[in-house]
Amino acid sequence: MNETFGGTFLAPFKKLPLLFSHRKAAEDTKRTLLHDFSGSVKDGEMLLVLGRPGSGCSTFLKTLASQTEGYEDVTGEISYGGLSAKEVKEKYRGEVVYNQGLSGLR
Amino acid sequence: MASRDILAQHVANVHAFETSPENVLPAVASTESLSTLQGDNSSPATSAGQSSRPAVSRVVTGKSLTSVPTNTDVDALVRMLSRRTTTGGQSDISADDYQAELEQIMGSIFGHSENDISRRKNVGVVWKHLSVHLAHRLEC
Repeated sequence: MNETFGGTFLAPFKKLPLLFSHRKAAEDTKRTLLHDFSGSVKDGEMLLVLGRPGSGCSTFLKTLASQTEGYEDVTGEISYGGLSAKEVKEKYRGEVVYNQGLSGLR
Repeated sequence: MASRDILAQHVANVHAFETSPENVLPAVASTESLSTLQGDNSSPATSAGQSSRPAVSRVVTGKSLTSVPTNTDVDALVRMLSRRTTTGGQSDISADDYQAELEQIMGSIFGHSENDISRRKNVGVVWKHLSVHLAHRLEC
């Protein structure tokens, strides 16, 4: 809707070079956000996650909160007091929450 | 004061049960039971056969009065203690069963036992070999 008439009109012509190219127009690749990360937090402990922007802090917290939508795949296992991530996601979803508004403070 | 009356009633029940089970239990706590409740062991209602029994088990302090939550818990505790003592010093259940049952009742009154708490202390959130990949669309 934001495209102007000119933009809409010129769009097919912008893709013409891609038609004549032998390379793929778009290539799906996997970008690793977290790799083989292990750790634990005991009952009553508080965990502070620090890192530069883009280092995976939010990804880690979202994964702990079972908010893995949008990621290609999540491997490894998480145990919440003996409960698996699947059980927490199905039965105790409101108990583990990631608040985006509270993260990313500098 | 309601919990105090309930507990006094139970102490009176146990006392009446130990002395003569055929007696009808009083509906309201008597002054005798109240004196027992306050630790007065000079009550003349003890029989000769029960005189060797230590009177400490019937003394109820003010601290435990405030921490008695429900009637059923106290009921179970009194029933268990009376069953333990009315078999002539011989227990009708094994020591392990007695300990487990006592822990269960005390746990329901005062909360979970120390063992349960320490067992749960080591449980937290554990993540192992966590890897997250994002599908990245690379435009060429």
